[in-house]
Amino acid sequence: MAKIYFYSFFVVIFLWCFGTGYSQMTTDAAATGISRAFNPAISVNCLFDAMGTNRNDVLWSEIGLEPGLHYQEICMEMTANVDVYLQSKVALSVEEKTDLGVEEAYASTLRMPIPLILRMGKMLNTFGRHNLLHLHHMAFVERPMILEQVFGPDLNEMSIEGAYLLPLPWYSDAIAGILNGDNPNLFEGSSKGDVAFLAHWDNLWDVTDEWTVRIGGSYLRGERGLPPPENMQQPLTNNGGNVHSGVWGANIHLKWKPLHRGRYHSFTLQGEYVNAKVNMNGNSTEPLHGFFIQMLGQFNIRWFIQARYDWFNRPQELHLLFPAPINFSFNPSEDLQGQRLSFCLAFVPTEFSAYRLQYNYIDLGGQGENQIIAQLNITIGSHPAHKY
Amino acid sequence: MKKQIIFMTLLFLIIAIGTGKAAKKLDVVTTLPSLASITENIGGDQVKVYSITRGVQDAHYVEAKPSYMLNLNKADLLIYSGLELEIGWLPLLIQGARNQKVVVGARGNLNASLALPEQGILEKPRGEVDRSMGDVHPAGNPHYLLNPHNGFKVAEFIADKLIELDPDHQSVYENNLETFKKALSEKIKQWETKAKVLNGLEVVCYHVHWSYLLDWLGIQQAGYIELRPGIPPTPRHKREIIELIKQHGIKLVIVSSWKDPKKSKEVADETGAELVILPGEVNAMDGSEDYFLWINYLVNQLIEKWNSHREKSD
Repeated sequence: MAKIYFYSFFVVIFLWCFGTGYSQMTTDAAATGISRAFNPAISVNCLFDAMGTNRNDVLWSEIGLEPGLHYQEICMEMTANVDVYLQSKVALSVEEKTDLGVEEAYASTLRMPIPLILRMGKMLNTFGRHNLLHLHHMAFVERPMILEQVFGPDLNEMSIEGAYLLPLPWYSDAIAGILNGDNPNLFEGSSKGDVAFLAHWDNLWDVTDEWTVRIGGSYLRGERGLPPPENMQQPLTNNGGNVHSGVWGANIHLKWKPLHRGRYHSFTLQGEYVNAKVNMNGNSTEPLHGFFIQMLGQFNIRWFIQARYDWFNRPQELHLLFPAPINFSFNPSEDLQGQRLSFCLAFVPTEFSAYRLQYNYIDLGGQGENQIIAQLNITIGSHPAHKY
Repeated sequence: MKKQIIFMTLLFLIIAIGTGKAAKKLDVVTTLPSLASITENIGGDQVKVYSITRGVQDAHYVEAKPSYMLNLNKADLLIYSGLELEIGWLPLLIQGARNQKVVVGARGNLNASLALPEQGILEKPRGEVDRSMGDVHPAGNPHYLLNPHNGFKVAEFIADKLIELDPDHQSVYENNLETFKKALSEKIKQWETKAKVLNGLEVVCYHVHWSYLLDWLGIQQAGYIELRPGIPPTPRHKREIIELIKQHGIKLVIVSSWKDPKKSKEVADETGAELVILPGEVNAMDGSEDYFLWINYLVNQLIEKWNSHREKSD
């Protein structure tokens, strides 16, 4: 099996070099060495939150989102073309209780002889659509519950992804990736050579000039090493090998934006379903699964009204495998169900600032919580446009 | 044997017709309908032109829909306005299209603003520029096709590029360019003669958009209803603009068909000025279906509204 991984890696690297023209870094003086004209586009995004809750301890405790005044995240993003062949993006972020970390740092091809883009580095991986979003680009203050549960909080790994534009009458992108397989919830294979594989198929149709439908499916498979993590209360038997984690997902996105005065009105309906199954020591378990569905309505040039419903179910065998970010004691011998209903009013005066007022009702294992969150989202500098 | 010869001859003819006669047209994608219209005039039957934005769309605020990438993926040539008009969406489309013919720096990538000399670009900010000044274009106002003299230059620029990419049809492109230039020169003379009545007029615009048109016709812009480019007016700013209109005796308030005319109408109603709604691009309103009709519509509408106001005053 390790040989297959090795050869897959080799083939991808070969393709990359074929498209970009292999070059060895040299010490030759570059003609553009110290010119400031080639500085990357640099931007910094800040998310400041104020949160109130009716409980002493929040049920669902995402990092950087707690009662009181906090900065949720500060993220610096740099983008530039490396040379004729490659573009690079680096996003460094820091949350209030975490150190500065690399959210993304990857290079992608600018020109290939076939309709293919290759990305290599640490990146938000193409599982569904929501996982590709940075926190400041999300419509709501926090990530959907099911993505937090399964990926805790993102699937962003050192990886190689290739996206091939299929020759079909509609937009259809076939994406395949090899991930390092170190997501703490899902993977961490027992041997260093273990990697995870990702496949995503993205399709978009223009129903009319103003309506689009986007449908996609994702599958991720990797290996989880044995023995299990130390915090497992009921350790699994070490059979000397790996067990598989398989996650599949489906996403749908319906969008309306009028051509005429499209800045004033728009409507988006978006949903994703994720199903994560971990083969525990050869024994199949019930999956951790859930979904979210959200609606965004723009009723004025600067105002949006939004609603989201989240739901997930976690089987009791997986409580310790998928711990975060639940913050209350519950019966470990029972499955845990959670749901959240959110309403949000967003005031977006310019592309570079947004004010959100969000209400959450959270129900976890029968316990309820009401949250109110106010958020200021600002961006300074040259920030690249966001994808559709 | 005879049957085989007939069959082979027919097969050869079919292949020859299929490959020889059906020479591929140049696939051209433009970002604006005005650029598409000029390209159609120059390219004629030798090009297939697709405009990413429609006339009714404000090209500043287009979303990078993946379906646009599909069109760009097949393109031989991309023609765009430049001056950062499409900065918010075109880079994403180019990258997503995965077509090395149209990436920046490739032969099939044409920034039409490069047809204009540096001094021909209006409203290029001098000194400090930052976002507290609103949606300013650091490279200058990108709506240069509102002046038909610039249409001339852009047409020549596009013709040069079509000849470079498809030298077999050089004579076709040159002839079409000559026809276009002749027709446009005649129309420019007519428009300039008709629009003499507007020379020296002062107007107020909702947004900084019409500078090339107004500059060409000798019309002064006394102020803008927007507080800053892209930022709606505050009540105080609106009062100041109303005062300005009254003090200067301004008779026309101009707004683009892309914008909600509510605020402009309130200002016009309160001051007695005429509200002029103009198509921001080719095909943005009925009667502006191509580049000639668009400029014609703009000139006629301004004259008509000015005359209408004078008649009311008399």
